[in-house]
Amino acid sequence: MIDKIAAVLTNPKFANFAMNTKYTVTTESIFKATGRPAAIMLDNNVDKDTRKYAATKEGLYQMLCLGIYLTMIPLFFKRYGFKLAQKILKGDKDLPVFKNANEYLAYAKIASLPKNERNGHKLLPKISDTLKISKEDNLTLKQHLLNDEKPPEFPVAKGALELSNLVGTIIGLAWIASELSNYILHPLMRKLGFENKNPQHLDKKV
Amino acid sequence: MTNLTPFQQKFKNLCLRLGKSNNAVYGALTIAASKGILRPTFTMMDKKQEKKSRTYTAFREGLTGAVAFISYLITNAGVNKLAAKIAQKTNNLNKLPQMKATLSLISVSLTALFVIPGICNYATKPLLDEFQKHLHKKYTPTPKTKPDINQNVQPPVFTSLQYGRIYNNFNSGLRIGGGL
Repeated sequence: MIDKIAAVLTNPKFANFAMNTKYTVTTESIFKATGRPAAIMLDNNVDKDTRKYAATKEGLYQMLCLGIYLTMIPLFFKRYGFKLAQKILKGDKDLPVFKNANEYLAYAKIASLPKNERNGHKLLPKISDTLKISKEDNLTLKQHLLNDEKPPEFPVAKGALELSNLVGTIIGLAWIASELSNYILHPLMRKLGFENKNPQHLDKKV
Repeated sequence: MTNLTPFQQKFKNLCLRLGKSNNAVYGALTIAASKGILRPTFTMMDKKQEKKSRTYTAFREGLTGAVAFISYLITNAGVNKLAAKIAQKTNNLNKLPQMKATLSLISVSLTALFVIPGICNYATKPLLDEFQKHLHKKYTPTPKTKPDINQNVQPPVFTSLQYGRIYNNFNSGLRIGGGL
């Protein structure tokens, strides 16, 4: 039994998923968006209408925040965060001059595959033919991918992306999405028939 | 580049650490800390609300942030120990980082779902009640003269619907947009 649990916990797919900030924040938000409304609905100390109102609002709030966050991550944080990291560590061979984050992600994806599956991979054309770790290196990164059993990994590049996602979590999720969703939430709740336009009227109902 | 400045070296070390062994708890702690600091700050800056309401809401938001932050740290520490035990028993010590990462994601999700709302609803409620009483004393001046009965002024009402983010009532722990 414990061996089976260990096999699941060490499954590379699960581990990679759990080490990705975007995926973990998404998982956590989905849990909140479904579990919290369920917990609210189970609270028998509150009347049914209030529970319904609170559960709907909580679920919508979490989903809106998640939607805004997931939209902002590739648009801003992945793109500019990676570029900024490259600027800070300019010339460092641990962070080669990938054109952008997507080029690095394509490289990392192919590098994680067995050697015989790399040639002809659909992501291979996304990697520049001239890209090298440094000027001193005789092989390009593409050649490393096709010739090496274990091509070089770039944990600094992966870390730079994770750091961008963490910053995105602060600015995107905790701040902007949180404030923005409040503007969307009230009209949405009104459309669903949970709120009236006049808040004074609602206060009297409580 | 051969010589890195201290800032570049620190930045590189941080990236290296995140790249080699990122963990779900880092994201959760980031959210908890940033919401625990940013939200009370924004609440206190919102001049549309009364000071009493702002102070209470900011205190509750800060407290929820602190509860979330500590809860994530404690559950993650427990999960790390559990991962070490499983790895030892199954001879998987070389895969301990992966095990820790997967268990960390599970613990973060369960903490957000059960532990934090549970603590907010039951443990922090008395603290919030006390704070509310303190605010009530501080912001409600005792009338020296007889109140003018013709004065048509309504006392401030603090409800979930007026201020948007409070579930159930003014002094409820679990609230809308908890997000932590």
